[in-house]
Amino acid sequence: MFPLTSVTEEFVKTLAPNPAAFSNAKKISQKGGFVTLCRSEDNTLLFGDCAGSGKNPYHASVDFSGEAPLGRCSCPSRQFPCKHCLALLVEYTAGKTFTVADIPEDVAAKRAKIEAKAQKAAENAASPKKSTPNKSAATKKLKKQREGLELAQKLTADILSRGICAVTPESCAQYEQVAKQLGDYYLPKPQALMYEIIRTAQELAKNPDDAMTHRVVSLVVKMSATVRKCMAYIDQKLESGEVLPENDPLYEAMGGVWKLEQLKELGLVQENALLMQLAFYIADDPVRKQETDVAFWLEMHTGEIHHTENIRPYKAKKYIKQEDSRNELQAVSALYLYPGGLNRRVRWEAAEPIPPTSDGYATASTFRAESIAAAVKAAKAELKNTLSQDYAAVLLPYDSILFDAEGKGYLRNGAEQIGLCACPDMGDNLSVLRVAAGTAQSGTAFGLLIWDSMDGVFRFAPLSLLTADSLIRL
Amino acid sequence: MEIKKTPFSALRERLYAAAAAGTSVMQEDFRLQRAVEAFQPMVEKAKPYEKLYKMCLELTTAKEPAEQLAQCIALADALAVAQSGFQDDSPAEPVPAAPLQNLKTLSYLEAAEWVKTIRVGQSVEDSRLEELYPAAADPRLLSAFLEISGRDSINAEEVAMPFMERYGTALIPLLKQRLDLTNPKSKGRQIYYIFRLAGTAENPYYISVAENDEAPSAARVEAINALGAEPSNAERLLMLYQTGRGKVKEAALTALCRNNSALADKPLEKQLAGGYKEANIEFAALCSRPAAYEFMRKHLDYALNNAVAHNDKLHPTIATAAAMLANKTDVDVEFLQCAEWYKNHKTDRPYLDSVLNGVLIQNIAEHPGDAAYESLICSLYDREPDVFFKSRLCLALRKQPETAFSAFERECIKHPLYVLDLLNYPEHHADGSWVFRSAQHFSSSRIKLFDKLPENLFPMLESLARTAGNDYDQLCKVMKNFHDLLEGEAQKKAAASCRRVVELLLMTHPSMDVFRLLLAVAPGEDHTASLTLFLVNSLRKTGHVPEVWTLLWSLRRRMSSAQVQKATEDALREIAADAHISQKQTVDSIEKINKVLKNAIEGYFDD
Repeated sequence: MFPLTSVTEEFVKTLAPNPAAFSNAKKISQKGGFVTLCRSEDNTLLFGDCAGSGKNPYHASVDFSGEAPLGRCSCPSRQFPCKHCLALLVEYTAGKTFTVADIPEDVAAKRAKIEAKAQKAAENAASPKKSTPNKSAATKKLKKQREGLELAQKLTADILSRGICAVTPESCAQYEQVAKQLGDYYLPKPQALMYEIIRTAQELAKNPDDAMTHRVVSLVVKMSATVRKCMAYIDQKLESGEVLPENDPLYEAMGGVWKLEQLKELGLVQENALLMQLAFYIADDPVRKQETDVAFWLEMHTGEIHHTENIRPYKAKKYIKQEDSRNELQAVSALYLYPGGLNRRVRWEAAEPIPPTSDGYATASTFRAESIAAAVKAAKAELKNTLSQDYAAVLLPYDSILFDAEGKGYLRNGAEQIGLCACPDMGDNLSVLRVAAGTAQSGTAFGLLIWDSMDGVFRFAPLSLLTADSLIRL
Repeated sequence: MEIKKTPFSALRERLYAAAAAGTSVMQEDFRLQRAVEAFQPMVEKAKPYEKLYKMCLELTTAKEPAEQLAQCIALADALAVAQSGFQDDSPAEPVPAAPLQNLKTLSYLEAAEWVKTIRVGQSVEDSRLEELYPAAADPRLLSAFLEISGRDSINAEEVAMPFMERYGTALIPLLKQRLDLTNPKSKGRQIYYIFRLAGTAENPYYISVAENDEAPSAARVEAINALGAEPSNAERLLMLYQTGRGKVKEAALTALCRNNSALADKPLEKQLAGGYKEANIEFAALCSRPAAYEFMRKHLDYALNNAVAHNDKLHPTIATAAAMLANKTDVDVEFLQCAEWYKNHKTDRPYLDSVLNGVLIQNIAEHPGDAAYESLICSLYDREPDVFFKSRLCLALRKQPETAFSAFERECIKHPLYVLDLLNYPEHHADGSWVFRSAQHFSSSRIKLFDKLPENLFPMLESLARTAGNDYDQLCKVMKNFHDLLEGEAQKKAAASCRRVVELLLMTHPSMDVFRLLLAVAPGEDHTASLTLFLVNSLRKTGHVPEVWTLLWSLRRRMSSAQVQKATEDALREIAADAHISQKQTVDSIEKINKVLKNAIEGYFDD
């Protein structure tokens, strides 16, 4: 049962499918939209009648009998939960009086259905049918992927053979056709990388520039390495007959999507994790036509920094819940970890929010790297892999933040000094840092260590500052 | 940061160049071959170097040269990562300690919504602007403000206020960084904000921009305006006047005048010799130099003697001429002449008193603590209390805020509009002070009246509710503005006072502003009965119901359609039974109220 005491305004915000739904819910509450406000005697159900634009009021309810609150409403909205259910919770957080009443019949019937379903599931769990993964389908898929990779290999070879500078808008159009075909070979990630190469090459054709040329070469090399490694991976799997996904990031590099069950089977689960969000931003990717809600989390027991990705393709944006930053700690009973090295992607099904405390921030600071050099060393081990992410998320100690006459920023820790750069997916966060640094003059900074391939140096893109009693997001 | 070029980095560079040029011409790439040869001695240093060397040697002979080149670059990159450093000893200054109080963290989506609103640059609604003050405590919103800090618009300035209040001088380096002096279209507004924050402390910076011939003229004008605040800049400004052209020249003279510098005499004389034109009125209003005084005297005399009704090519009106009394102390005679004229021709010039008081109030705002300007107000008030009460009250509020209202109680009751004009647009600043802006002043500048809200402010406003002629609407707006800016206990007290005023006015002078005040001070309450009362009494007192659409707009976020429906039905019943309302009025009113009802039911309200 979900405790009703955990329902705060912050929590209601996290339930809302988008910010507009929450603000509409607030409006309903403010103008007294609810005609009746009731609760069940055992505090497992809030319900009420809310005046709407129709003749009859909507019957909204929020059920707390399960692991997570479940909203039900008679309104025609396709949003879930709808603004009326959210408004009901807002009314509750506002301390309005809810009279005790019997659980409505329709809710009781739905509860009974859920219970029956759960019972059946429990019975199934007690005598589990052993699911037999379809090996022949997996083999077929791998072979198809291998064919696609050969196509991608030809493409990269052609680009390198002609030369990056010789790529014309016409050849880009041809490459685009081939990139489109990659979608037929279950290779969404290499396909996206190919589109990125094409788009960057198109920009280069318009505005020739050293940095852009360097960028295209890096992308083509990355593509080539991906193809080479994935082919070797497939060949090895086909040869050994172990065709099912295993604990290897290459599965994801080809565009494989992990299911939580698969991660569980591979033992990639951490029990009773406690997470503190260190940063959050939304990365827009017009090439892949998607937005990604990216969050970085510090696991408070191990000190590992993980990240979450909530991918929302433009086409489905309306229907996928947009994530928002979280200030509370998240107590997660089962944390699923994706294969990988530093800053692994994680997911979880349910979490209990816990208000942050000064102790929490102090604990988080203890997990910072010993020095900038130590953090850079760890980052090098990760970033020298061509297939790795472009950054390493780290907690760095600092004793001052500096700016030069041109406005370039630096982070200093003892004799160490690292140059700062902006995070590509954030706004002007260095300006924010310059102001915030007056308050947090020394302490712990969270951000991304980024290797500048052209200059051959590491720079730090700060995302937040940890003080004794707060997290200043930049 | 200087990057050393080693044989390894040279080779990596050539590999990238080869990829850019294409493997089909790699055979002829002698620079790549030389780079490989130069790298040869490195092979003994580490095994990966040896591997890279061998791979590079095979580049031209490989079966798949493109694949081979990609692998060489991948290995070179991995080695480059492994040997890269981070140390950057470029000289820089630590950010000075400037603890910010009560920093706030909005959720990412809330912050993003604000950033979008600020960036769009259209006028931010008043209610949103109020919300921006607390929201600005999240430093992430700063980037949006900095982005629009170069825009020359009232909206940008309004948006700037919360940030300037919150972050103060910490914004100065960021604003300087944002000012692009290489862009000829740059408006240089950042300098204006820097001046608002730092005053003359940034004088060397203003000089550097003002004297930069390459800088865009708008930025130079802003810098020159800032230079005008420091008397020691007079000679520099004279030089800019003599060497500058167009707007720069004009700005330099303006700044010289603002300094009241003797160096302004000759150029001002030359300028004012051009006779009456708008620019010259402004120059003459800026200082008390002899040329300015003579110019003012000449045109004021003519305007008063000839009762100039409209500005013409040769002569300003009395009000325009009176505006030139600004920044002068020895002008009681002229003020009294204007006052006399005003008393005798009130119907012709109903706002002349606003101009006169505006000039006096602006004087004390721009010359704080200058006894000559203060005694000018006192002597004028002694002679013509009815005309100069507004300035006198303003001075009293600045000097003794706690006793000002009681000392001038009778006058406040007698001239409620002066009181309300003065308190019309309050701003509560982060340091606790109360600053007021008024369109009724000569300029729209702000003036600080008190550090702490006087205890007897709300009782005084309540007493105005019982006596304030036709100014109830303005009274309600003033009370709402104060209420909205207060917090905690103080706001509760203000709300109670506002409710008493509403209770009274709903009976005696029902209007939209009265009802809006009720909605503002008692959000979330059921106002059905009050709405009925408001509708019925509006009809009784004024003979018509209030503007339907305005009413609906005010109500849509505060009341549900069901509540509006009930209130209008009750009102209809009461109106139908009221013998005091004539038959025709009843018909009209019922039609209008029915319209309200219909719209409410059809979903005007976003339930």
